[in-house]
Amino acid sequence: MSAGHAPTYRLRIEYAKQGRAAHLSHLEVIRALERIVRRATLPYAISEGFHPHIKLSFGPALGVGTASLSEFFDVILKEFIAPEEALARLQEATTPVLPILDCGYVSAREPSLSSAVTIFEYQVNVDGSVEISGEFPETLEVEQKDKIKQYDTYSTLPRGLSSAQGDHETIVLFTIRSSPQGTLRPDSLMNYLLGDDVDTYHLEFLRTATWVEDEDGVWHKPLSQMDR
Amino acid sequence: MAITNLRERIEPLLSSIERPSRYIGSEYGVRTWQDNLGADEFSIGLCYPGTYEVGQANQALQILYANLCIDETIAVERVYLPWLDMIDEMRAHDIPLFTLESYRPVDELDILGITMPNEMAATSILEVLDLAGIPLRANDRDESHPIVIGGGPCAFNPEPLAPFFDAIFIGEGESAITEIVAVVREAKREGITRDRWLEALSSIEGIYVPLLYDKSVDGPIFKRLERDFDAVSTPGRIVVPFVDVVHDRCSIEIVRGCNRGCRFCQAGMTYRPARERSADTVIRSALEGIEKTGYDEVSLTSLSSTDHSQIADIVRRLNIQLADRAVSVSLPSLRVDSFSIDLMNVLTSGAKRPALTLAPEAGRQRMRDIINKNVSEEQLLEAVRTAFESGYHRIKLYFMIGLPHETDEDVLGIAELVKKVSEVAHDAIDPRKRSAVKVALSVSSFVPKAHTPFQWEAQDSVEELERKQQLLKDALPRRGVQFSYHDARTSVVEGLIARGDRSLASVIEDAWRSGARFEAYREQFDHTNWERAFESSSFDPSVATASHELDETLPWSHISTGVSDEYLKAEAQRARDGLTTTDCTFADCTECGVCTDLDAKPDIKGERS
Repeated sequence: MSAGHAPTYRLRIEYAKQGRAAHLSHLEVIRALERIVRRATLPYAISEGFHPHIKLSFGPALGVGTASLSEFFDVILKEFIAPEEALARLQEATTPVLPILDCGYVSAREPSLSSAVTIFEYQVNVDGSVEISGEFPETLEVEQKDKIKQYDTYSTLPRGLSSAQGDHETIVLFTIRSSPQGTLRPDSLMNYLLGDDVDTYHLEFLRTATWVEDEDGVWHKPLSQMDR
Repeated sequence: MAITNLRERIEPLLSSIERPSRYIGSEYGVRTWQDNLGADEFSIGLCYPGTYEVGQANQALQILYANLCIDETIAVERVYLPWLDMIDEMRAHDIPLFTLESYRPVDELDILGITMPNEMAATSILEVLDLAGIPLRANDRDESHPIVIGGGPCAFNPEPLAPFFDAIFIGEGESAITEIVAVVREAKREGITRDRWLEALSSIEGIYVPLLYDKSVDGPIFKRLERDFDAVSTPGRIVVPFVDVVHDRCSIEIVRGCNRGCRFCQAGMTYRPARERSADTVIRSALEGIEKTGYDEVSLTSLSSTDHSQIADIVRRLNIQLADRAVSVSLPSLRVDSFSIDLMNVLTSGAKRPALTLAPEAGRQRMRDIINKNVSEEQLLEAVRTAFESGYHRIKLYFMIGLPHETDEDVLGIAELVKKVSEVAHDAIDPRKRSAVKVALSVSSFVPKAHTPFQWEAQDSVEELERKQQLLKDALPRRGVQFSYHDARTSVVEGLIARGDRSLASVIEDAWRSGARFEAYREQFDHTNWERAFESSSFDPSVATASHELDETLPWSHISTGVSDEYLKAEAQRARDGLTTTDCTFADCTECGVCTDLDAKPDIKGERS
């Protein structure tokens, strides 16, 4: 912190994207969250320059059509405000499809959410009974944006894949680890699993959790109890 | 009656279409439908015949939505026209047009209110009705269908669309909307026939029921207006969209109506008299609006915002109140003078200057006098000088061609004036930034509108408009000026609907059957749809765009804005004589008739100057 600058506080906020909000794009969610922060009248810091704006930062984007039980963003505050108070105000200011779940302060030195969060858990609901194999070759070849991409299975799907086949629906669970080389998209994985049949089903994508992986390979929540 | 919920049929479509967020509702500020379900439930849908992005920004619908939501026993629903890809999917899956709040079929509503925002929305209104499964013509509807009510700017000449509406509301709807709901609700509770519902509706001031109205017996339908505009509550409930809509900001209407009397301007005649909200009301509403919505911009809207008698005070006070919040204030519809530029400078101090937009409308003084645009060349150039000296480097100028009594010299005069603006801009700007100067020129084609002094004038043909566009294009400097103009064919269709009579309804229907819809979107307009319609209906557009005799009975003569015929005729004559008329909020009464006819008066909070 350079001299002459007032101290700032980095508040991390956990929210969900649910119901009809699944259809929002990342940009639409960003805009909605900024407005929630404004309505909550948190003591947000303003950037300097020609276009003053609130300082917000977000985790890796969630695709259009994907809901999530747990997402995070950071906002820089110019005054400290008790997390319970901030949470109450944010909950008052939001809309039911983007509920605010939790918030707490994190250190300014911590890496950004967009680089720190690398583990993503998904649940996909398929509206039909399909048998899905959890067996994969060592290297996964999937089509992503009209290109064939290769992923190391063990590293990309650290917990493998499990599924539950019902009479009329199938639930598929998997965890994806992203790397600087690229991130396997959950819809690409489903295309791989279902093959040509994919268009005959309606798929519902849900991100159930996100994790930060430390140097020892241990997974942590982006916001821990200690942060509050 | 149980309410149909189409959710399970709509949701699967959302993953395969463009921008699905247009169809999800659930925004901050909406009232959810579960709140008001009950045996006695009454439902009204407010529809904009265009996509969500345009419709959600419509201020009139926002006001009506907010007013209706106050009554918790009414289900208030919003309806927009889905985009082409979604319409195709819906037709393929046999899904009717639905409301955003409860995903119920529009056909199950008690009332469907459709705004008539501009002439080019006519075919989209038919698309709305058809997609909803509601018979296009009021004649063919029965007690199972909603009462379809129109309103908005194009209601002032209701005839071309009259057969498609059960009722059309003329004027300002704030207090009328609750009366309309109460009357229809009571009539429906009594269980009487559709004819009787319409009869009950026709008793409301400002309501026109085409099926029941008899010109030879019934008197004129006077528009409704809010006499004490300052007392009309604002901002009320505001829906904050997820989608990046047009004008995605908090809008506070600071003046309603404008008495400047530009002779081509329909709004300037139909929304008289000018009524201001006081500075205190504006400040309070703007701050409340910002806090309620979380928007980062508040816009002070009106037909001529810088005419507000307390505008300098408003701007100064808002600037102080909103400092440190990263909220900007915008002022659309600037008057062409340096006072407006000084105001803009207060609003944008320290920030990047936006593009400056000014509307001199005509190139030569002679023509500006004919249209009564009381702006001199000196005022315009002074405004440009002030702006470019204070950091602006982009300017957009609005002009019209095809105006009454226009000569080629007048058209070329636009190019002359643009050259002068460009020179002044280059001289005034910081010499190091001279290369950044951008002058954009937007030229629309004049369309004569009902209830204006030019309502009797002929409209230029497509060929003539295109010739003038080319003439102007050739006379403009080759560099540094960006030129855009309106499609002449679109302007002619706009003119037909603007002054059409009831016989035009079948032409509009034919054009829609040929495929016309979304015609307010430039790339969607296809003139061949209209050519086919002219042919099948044996309709001659050149007759419809010709001039009218002063003593002719015009198709909209049964609708009154309060402005007298004598005044409009006198103004038409003054235009011919090149005489200007003052604005009564700055000088003496011009006897337009609105105050006597409607028992109203201009409400100016301070001194206008």
